[in-house]
Amino acid sequence: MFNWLGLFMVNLLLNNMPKMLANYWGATNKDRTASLATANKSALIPKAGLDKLLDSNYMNISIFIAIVIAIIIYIILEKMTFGYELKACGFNKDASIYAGINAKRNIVWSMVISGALAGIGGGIYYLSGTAQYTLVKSLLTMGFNGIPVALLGASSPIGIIFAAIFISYIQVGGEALQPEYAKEIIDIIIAVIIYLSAFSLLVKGILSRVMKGDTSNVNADEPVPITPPTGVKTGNAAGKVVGDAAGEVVKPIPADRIDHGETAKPIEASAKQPDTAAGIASESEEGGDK
Amino acid sequence: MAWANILADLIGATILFAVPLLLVALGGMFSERSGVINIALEGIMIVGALCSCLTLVGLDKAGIGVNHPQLGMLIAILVAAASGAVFSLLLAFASINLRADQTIGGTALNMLAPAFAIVLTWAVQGQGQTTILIPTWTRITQDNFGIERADTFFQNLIFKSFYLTTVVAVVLFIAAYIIMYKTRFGLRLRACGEHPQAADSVGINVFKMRYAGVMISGVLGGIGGLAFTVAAGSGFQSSVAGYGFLALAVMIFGNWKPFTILGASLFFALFKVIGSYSDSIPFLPSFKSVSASEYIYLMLPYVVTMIVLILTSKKSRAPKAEGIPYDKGMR
Repeated sequence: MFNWLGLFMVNLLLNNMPKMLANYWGATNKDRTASLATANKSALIPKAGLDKLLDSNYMNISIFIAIVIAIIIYIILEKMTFGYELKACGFNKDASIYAGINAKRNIVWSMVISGALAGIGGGIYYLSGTAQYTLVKSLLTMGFNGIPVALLGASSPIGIIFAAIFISYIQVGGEALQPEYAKEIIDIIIAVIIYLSAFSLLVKGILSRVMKGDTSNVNADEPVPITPPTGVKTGNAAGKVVGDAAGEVVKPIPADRIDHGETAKPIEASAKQPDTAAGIASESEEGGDK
Repeated sequence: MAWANILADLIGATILFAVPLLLVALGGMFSERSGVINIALEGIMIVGALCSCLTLVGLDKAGIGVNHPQLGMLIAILVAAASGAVFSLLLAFASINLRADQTIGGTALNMLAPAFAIVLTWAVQGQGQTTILIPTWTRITQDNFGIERADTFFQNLIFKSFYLTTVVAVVLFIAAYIIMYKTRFGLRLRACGEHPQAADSVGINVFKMRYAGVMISGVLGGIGGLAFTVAAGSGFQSSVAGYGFLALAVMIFGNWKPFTILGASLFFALFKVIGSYSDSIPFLPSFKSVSASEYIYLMLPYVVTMIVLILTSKKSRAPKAEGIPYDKGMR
């Protein structure tokens, strides 16, 4: 819904703003925004000599902006109370409400943050000066490509840096295939990669069975929240604790709510463990936001 | 007479564009009522449209199409249904057997389908030929009934854009309602979407039911893809212009129930048609002072839907277990 709303709204605004379209600046086409190189050079993202260093016109400092943002998001999600609350709402909304987290506020915040990040992405893309926004009635594919990148990066900010570089690398490679082959072959490859990432559960089950050397255990790929899944490397005693935490992920939060900072760390540790142990069960649940 | 003609065009076009939305939203309803979120509707539509359009072209070349046009169309519909069902099996396998995240599987299939369609179209038609043209005999005209052509209200209403898919959609709508609410199968399907553990405890095979739900959505989605392609007119260009996602919205708007989905799809199609024909409808304000004012009308269906959704969201009720992979050991 909001995809199309945003699209049509932007097109309407651009059409009615003076000096926005390319034909005002001497170009012949009316269907796109002005090229920044002619309209306003100072709006371009600085290149900081990177274009000479790597001998490429496409290079500018936006890659560093993106990486810095990814690291900031990592810190927020992994090291701060706010990020912990966000994740708790994602794992189990009812339990986090029970633990005193304002779940609605957190969900609104997560939407606001994701909107801000997507906006930065769009801004960086067009401010690099290599692309012009075209007024069409269909959506940009880049927004949809963000979803598979997030999934491929296992919804971790650091993983997403590498996933993004990987996906855009094979996409640029697809452009080079162009005259002989349809570049959509790349989309097929990416789609197959993501589809097969769904099989990770199966592979993990097989791996854990092989590592334990016990092929008779049929429950290996069927983790039950209470008992620790087989094949977890963290000894038995730790496994018990982990299993409990997986059942009620957000139980220790009230203590955390009372005094921020200091206590956040140990709780963080106990919250991270179910991630790895019950990861078989909750694999990629974080990426399930539609 | 001009007014009557415009009205007839408007209603005809509304029904024409409501058909794919209705079919695909009904498909989504079956899938989600059985507990599987079907984001892949867009991809299923594309695959159904691709296979059926290739079939139509093949029938045209073989000469069957011109002699028995509606038989050819029926074959194309069956092909669309079968291909959609086969494609939806991919989603079913990942989300039911492997218990993968259903959104991920659907997103992957949505990416796969248009790319696959383009590559296959190139392979069949030669490099750079991205449009599959639909033969003209697919439309039902006055000649099929032996009626004299005339410029009357009813003939404009019915025959301007009348395809076999419309008839099939009406039949399938009634069938979908009966299956969902009047048969044992429908009750079991709904049970699996609400509380699969309870359904399993009384001996219903949840996996089988969910497979059935996803495959029915594949059948309806495939036919919907063909219906969209004939409605859009110019031929199949490896895309269904986001109608799969629109159908998802229609399904939520329609509260996962057949009759409200019918109403929602008609409503949505009407506003969509008003949006795209805004310059030829005389009684609409034309916003002379704003340039490119067609975007105001293009925004209209989405704005209205959002407002209605905000007003009715308290009553909306999704199937309880949708999106949650079935795990026997879970409490």
